[in-house]
Amino acid sequence: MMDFDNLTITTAATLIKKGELSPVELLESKLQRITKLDGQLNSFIHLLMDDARRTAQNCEREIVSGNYRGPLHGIPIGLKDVYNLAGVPTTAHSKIMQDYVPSSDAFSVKRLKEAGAIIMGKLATHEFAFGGPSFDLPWPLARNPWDTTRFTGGSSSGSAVAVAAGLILGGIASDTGGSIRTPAAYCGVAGLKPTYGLISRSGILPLAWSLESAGPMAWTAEDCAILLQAMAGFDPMDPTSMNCPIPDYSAALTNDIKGLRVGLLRQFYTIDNPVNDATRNAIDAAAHDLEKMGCIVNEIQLSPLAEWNACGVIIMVTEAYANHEANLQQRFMDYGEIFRDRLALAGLFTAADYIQAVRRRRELIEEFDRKMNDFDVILTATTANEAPKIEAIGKFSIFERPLLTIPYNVTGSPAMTVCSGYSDAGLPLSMQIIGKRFEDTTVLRVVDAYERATAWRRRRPVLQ
Amino acid sequence: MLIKVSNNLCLGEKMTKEELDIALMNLGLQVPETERADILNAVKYIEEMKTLVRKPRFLTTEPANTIAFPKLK
Repeated sequence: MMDFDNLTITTAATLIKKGELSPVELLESKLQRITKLDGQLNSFIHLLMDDARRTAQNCEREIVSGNYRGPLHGIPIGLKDVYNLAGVPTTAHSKIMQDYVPSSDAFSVKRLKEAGAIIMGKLATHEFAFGGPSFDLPWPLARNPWDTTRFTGGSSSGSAVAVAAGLILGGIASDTGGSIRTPAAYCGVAGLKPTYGLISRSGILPLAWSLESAGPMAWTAEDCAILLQAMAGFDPMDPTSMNCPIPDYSAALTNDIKGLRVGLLRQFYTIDNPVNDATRNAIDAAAHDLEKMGCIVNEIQLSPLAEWNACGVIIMVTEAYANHEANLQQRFMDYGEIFRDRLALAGLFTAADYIQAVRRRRELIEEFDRKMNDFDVILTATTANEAPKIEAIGKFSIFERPLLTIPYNVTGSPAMTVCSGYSDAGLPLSMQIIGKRFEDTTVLRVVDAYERATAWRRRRPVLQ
Repeated sequence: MLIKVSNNLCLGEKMTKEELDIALMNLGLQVPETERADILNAVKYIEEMKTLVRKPRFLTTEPANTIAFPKLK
């Protein structure tokens, strides 16, 4: 009997192509699982049952008639609720946007549809991809499937939860300071923040324009490569979209990483933002695993994490403040408390602060690029620990400790979260692999090889 | 009428409740009284960040997002 709950995109696509799995059957199994489990997980804001069923039937007809489009054809996925989907509310999980119904799809959504993906619905997010965890929004907080009392991380909470719980096979998300990589870490899935400019941002509600990347989440790097393939590409409507050749990401997953130079960025997670023992030990073990696979691992050092964090956070919150200024002045109480108070604090930054941060950004990018001449990828921590209790997250938590994820939003580099083991309590541990801009293939190749060499992808959350 | 207040406090200088009230008023934000104490407590974080992005720089040091207009074809 087929294990529908734990199917990856890669496996499902192989079966669908061979005619051994029907997209309709696959979709129905996911709808049943959502009906059974999402009442406790809250990953979906809008479930599009009828639309998804119609699309699945169309996919089946196309495939049977010999018009197989590729590995996303007939695969059920979900969208973080900041992606425009024509005719469906796009709310950013906020009362402010609850009546907004876009008339067209985001560029990347159009690409996913063209690849044959089935959009099952819109997924929970922290308010406007920034506030959270919040209990005062129109929709409930998404819950971590490994332990529903634990934080999912944010902001792409619903995408990570739904993938980890096997409700969807791919989650489409966005990352401005860690919003793909942090929930991927806490929920034990793979999450890629691609190079800035690789995926169009048009049709996606922004948090901070100059830091934000759209990107995929899935159970494995192999699945993320398939999603990235569909999403990446030039869009003249996004002024930061890069018109560059798009490689074959899946073909790059050769399981051969011999000779790759890995920079172990211990300074960030042992000195600048010390992680707990379990996280540190898992990264040390991963460095050893990569060496055994033929990588050359040496330490790398960068400017203190607090400086990267200050640069990234100032840019992020001031751009967000500018974007929300009118609504903050007119509808302050329609935002959740966490979002509105974080942005009220952001209002205390001046124009000069922003410009100094952007000047610092150029210096940091130049430093990063110089250091990366000696390395192909960096290995470091994603978060300081496994998923904390929800109540441990304070209103201003993002200002309290430097984010281990934000330096690569500052540099625009591809960065990926990968599961690196499990804590004694059975919660996922994680690490981060970072590459050079537009070398997303190298990041995916390293993560894929690591996943194949370790047993972490075999464990799933136990859900009743 | 807007009352001018500097948001650029020196490191270690603590913003007062009155200064925060004026700053929020200048921003045009109607922040409930119960939430102002939380914001005031968090001001220290942004003051530290303001310091961290300021380095000795010559006047010609450009920001990362200086606009380059598309080349004429």
